[in-house]
Amino acid sequence: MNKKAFIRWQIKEWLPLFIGFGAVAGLFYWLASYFSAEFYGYGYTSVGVTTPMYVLMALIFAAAAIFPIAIFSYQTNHIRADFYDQIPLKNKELRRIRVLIGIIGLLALFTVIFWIGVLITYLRQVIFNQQEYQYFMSQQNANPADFKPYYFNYVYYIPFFFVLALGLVAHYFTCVYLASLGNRVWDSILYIILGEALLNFALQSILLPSYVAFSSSNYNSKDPFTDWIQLSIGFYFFLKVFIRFYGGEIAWTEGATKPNLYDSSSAAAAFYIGVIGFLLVGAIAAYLMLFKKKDPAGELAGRPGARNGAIALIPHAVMLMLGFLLAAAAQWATMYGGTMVSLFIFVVALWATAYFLLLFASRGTIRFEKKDWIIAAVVAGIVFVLCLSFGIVYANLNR
Amino acid sequence: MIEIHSLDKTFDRNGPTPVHAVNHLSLTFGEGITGLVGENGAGKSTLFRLIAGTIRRDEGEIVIDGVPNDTPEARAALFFLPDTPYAPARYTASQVADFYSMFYPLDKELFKSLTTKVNLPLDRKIATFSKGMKRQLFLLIAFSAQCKNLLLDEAFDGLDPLVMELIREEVLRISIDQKKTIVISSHNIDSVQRIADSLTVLYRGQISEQKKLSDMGEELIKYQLISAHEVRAEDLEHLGYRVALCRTSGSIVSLIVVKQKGLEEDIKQLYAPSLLETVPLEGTELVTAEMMLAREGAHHE
Repeated sequence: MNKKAFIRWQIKEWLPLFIGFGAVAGLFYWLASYFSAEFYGYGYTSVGVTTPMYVLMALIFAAAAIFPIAIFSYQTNHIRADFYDQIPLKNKELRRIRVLIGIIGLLALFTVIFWIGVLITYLRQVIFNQQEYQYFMSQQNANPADFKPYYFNYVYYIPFFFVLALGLVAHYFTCVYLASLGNRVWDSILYIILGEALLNFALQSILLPSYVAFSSSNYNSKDPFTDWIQLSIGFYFFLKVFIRFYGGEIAWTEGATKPNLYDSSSAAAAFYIGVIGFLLVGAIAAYLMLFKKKDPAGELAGRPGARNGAIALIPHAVMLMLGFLLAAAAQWATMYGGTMVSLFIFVVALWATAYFLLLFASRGTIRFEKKDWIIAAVVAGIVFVLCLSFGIVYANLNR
Repeated sequence: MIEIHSLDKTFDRNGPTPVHAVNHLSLTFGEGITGLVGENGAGKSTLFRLIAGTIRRDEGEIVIDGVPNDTPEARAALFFLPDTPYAPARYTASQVADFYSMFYPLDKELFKSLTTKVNLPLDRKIATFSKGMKRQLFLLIAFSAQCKNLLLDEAFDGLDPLVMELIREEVLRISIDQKKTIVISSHNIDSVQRIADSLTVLYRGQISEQKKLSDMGEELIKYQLISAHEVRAEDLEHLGYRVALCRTSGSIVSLIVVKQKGLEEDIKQLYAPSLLETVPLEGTELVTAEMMLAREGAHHE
């Protein structure tokens, strides 16, 4: 077995995928960097900071979720599984090679895209500054010495780059783990979606106390907690706080309001718990994928097998999304007074996800029987009572 | 050498319809060519996949050249050619060979000479190959792979007679020259029977028969008879005989039966034939008869 030749071959195989994705992602990010403009007072126009960052974040999110599907293509097709399961290479080693090539490729891609974007941002700012200079000089009694060109704190792009890269790595390994659970491409996609939702639920349930403390305050109620639709993706939450922070640092000038994430201990706690939780999940997933987890048996490749419930989960997932929408709608409609209602819906949705997944894992299919509906009703009742008591206590505390 | 001890495999074990594909099977494939035959669903492909490690066994042990089959050493000593082998579709035949050479020590000179013999175009994409051409390509890769053990599933499917002859010669040559263990499964019984040293008949995941080819058919006898009466296997079975085959062609009835004392007298008494003669069994008939007996034996059990 010529392992080096295999690694070279694997890289060559995925090169078109990397280049194709990189070209599309780069184009989006670079165009966003070029065309976004913000007005910062003083008569100066600046390149936008946050819009391109959000575009970049969405692209990283997509990449970290798409590439794991390619990594496990050998276990979603029985012809490939027949081949890869018989070659003189341990399954664990095969997986390790593919997973590592995937993340190295993604990081390389991300590095190139990111820094070209920064370069575009810089060059665009130079053009803006020239235009502003002409406008400034056209004013009466203009003194060239009084013109102050606007530039970002470009040095903040360096830590921002590393934070995003770290987020990419953590999210990639989480998605790799989730994708590895599927024997079919659609199963893997579904696992990624459900896993992301569950991860976020878990993080959010840890952060609930902070949320309640926040929800009636002013600016902080939206920061770092955004509404639940946005929070349905843990990665989004993770990067959003960094974007707010670094975006603020990069674009900060004396005249602009510098956002402060840490003006409350609850916000700081939420921030740290969220970030550590997100990275910890990524680290555990990386350990499992590189050293521990066993691949499913080859005979399950391309077959629903024990995971036949994937398709059956779709209606439940839709129900869950509806629950989310309701929670968000309740939150929006009632703003600060809707805590109890949205908390109730949120906890029920959280419980429902865990319950569905447990059913799925134990029975291999999701078909609600009579007793399931009874359990669901009982749990919903308990949650309602708890939320009601919680709401009463909370209302009294704030009186 | 491939040694199998108490191998057991059930698909969909906890599902509504579990399939016991391999049933506590113990056997050894030694040096030489073994033909693995059985009806559809007998467990031939499952057995191959279990040996190659592409599916996991529930119980038992598989040892290849002295090491467990799931180790890289054992895998390096085995080349398994499934019914649908994998290769990236956009590759040319030559690229497919290069691809396989990453995993197995491929004798490229031998591969080239074999492809020349069968006129296989090396620079053509395999997506444009016919089923038979693909089969040729992968068989030639298997022969050139220098692995001590070869498992060839549905080995002769889709091959034209000329190529089949060449492949048969090649299997025989490498089996003798390189002292390999070659296990061939195919529905082309004639081809298997012509090259195999021994034959293993599988029925419902169990060995029904494992014999040297020269020893096969010793317990069987074939009659040809002409009779005014209708000749039915049930009549003889009713008398306790094991009938492997009963076929009518025109006015002549062929009967293959397990030898037993008094058989000929009973046939005469039952059917009063105007002609009754024993004829030698042909290779294909021999294997078919063994498969029929395997099925019949299982029904009796």
